[in-house]
Amino acid sequence: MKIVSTVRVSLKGLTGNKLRTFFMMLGVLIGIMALTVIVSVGQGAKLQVMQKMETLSAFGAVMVIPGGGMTRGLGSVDSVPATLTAEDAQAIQSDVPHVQDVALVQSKQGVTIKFGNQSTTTMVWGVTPNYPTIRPTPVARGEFFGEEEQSSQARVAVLGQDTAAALFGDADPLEQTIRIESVPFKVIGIQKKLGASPGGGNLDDRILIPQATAARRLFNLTNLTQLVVQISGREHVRGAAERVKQLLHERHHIAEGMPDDFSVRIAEQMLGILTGSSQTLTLFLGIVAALSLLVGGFIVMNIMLISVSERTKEIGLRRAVGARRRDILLQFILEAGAVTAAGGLFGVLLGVGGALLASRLLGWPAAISWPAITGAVFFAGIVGLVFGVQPARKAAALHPVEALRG
Amino acid sequence: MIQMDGICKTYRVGDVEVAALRGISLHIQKGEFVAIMGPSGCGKSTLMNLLGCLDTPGEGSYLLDGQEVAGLDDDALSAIRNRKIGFVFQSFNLLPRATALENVELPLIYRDEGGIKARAAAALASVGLADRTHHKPTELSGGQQQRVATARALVTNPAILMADEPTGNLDTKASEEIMALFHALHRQGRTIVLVTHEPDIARYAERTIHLKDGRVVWESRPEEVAAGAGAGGRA
Repeated sequence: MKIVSTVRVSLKGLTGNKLRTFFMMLGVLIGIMALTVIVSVGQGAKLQVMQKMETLSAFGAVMVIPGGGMTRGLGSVDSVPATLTAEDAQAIQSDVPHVQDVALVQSKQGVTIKFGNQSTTTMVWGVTPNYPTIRPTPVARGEFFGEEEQSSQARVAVLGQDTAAALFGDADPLEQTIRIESVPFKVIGIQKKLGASPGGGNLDDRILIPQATAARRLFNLTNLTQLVVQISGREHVRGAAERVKQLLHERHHIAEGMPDDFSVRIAEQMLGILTGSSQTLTLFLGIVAALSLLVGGFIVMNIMLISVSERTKEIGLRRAVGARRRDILLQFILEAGAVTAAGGLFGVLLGVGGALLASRLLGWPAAISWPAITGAVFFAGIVGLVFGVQPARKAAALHPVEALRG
Repeated sequence: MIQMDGICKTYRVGDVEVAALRGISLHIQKGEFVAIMGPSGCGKSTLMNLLGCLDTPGEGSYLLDGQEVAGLDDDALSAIRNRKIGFVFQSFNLLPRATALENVELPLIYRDEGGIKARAAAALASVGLADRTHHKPTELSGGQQQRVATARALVTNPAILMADEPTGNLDTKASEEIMALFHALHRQGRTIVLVTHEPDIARYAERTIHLKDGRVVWESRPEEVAAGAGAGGRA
């Protein structure tokens, strides 16, 4: 018997009972659709964080923050452990190989800013003038402060777009004088819109001022909240991070067996921290979707078993007119295979559609993972074969005489 | 055409062995129209299954068209059923969702041959249903359904036509129609084996083989069947 005619017989068997075929297909369809959406959205979320870190040139840098914990984002100078200093930065600059530059960050949250009778609360970042060369901080209008402002502890500020809007509305903030905790600062620049940081903070709601000004004139504190160490060449980042860790361990006289009072992080670790939870969720949901696919497989098997017992007489007749066992086996396997393949295909189509929709709604890049999709369809095919074989074997094993009796 | 010698068939029912056939020997010539008769439980269905190669004998030899059937494997039996035997069943056994034409095509799809549609249409025409090719079985009368089934049996041009109570589900008029069709086929030279328990139907055959308790008890000609049945003796 030709395979073509077997396929035709199988398709005829399927179109014969459309409702049953539809429900068989649905079981697989839902599983494959869920898998496609979950994997694609999960991949998209990861891609989004990576793109963000890429635009912030995060992969070429080592970050040092005070405290040993796994805190996310940037701390506030008045609440973090006062362990990180400018001297640490100098030591890193001179002792660690491949270090290009070190930017100092002294940030404080919940600072009140006033302009006239307008006021807002935001985060103040005291940064060294080299900060924009390490972390892209483009200025839309005006300019960033330089070494001169740093050394003279000048009271100048660069505003994030959201902060500027909160204080000035549509008016031009440049050259205006604002008060940061009552200290007057001149606005010299407006930052370009940056959006959210990889950690989720709003980079448009902040004020950047020279670090020396922040330390001496505003906070009256010398400890830092972050060091950003620029490394020449990504391949040296890991080694440099190790070296920074050793150096600070010695400099801070950490007793043996005691935890460090600082943390050294590189972008790849950050990526793990930032995407770790979403990856766990993706994995978990993926397992649920795979289970639903398995359930779909059982549905296929059950309906096929019912179909075989209902069609016992048909099987007997086919055997009587010359169908061999393998013809019957093939017919029923192909029926199950065609159903799962169609379910898989429609599931992928709907899943890709759902993933694109989700990425649009969430504003994430669409990460249609073709390997995952191929895997899902392959998995659907396996489900069809595995769960189709048993009913098909049952059908093929029927003795023609008994089958004809029905 | 058919040469059976010392055929025995035993079934196991639980721990008990039931002998359905106890040494059947019979000979059917090419072109003969033979009926097999007997009360229920006499083994005529078992004999029919063996003759039709749906089952294999436990003992004995069965030569069909010069080929020994006993001891053949399942695939070989399937091939013989496809090539040499055409079945007509009591309950028609048509695929309910397929058209008359598709039902007749069925045996041909288990061959690697072309021209299936034309041959099926020709077979339907030969039983007088050329105008019913695209009807579903439910749209046909009982007699028409059995004629479709007969066309399905004939489409492979088999050596033997096996009919198991072909009129069992039909009224008198339709029964006569079907038997007239069989009679005509016989006149065209078909070899026909008919299983029935109705003397009226057996009368269409040239020769009737009477079974009882798994043995051939006597053979008769049409006029003797009626007489024997009328005398109440099937001894």
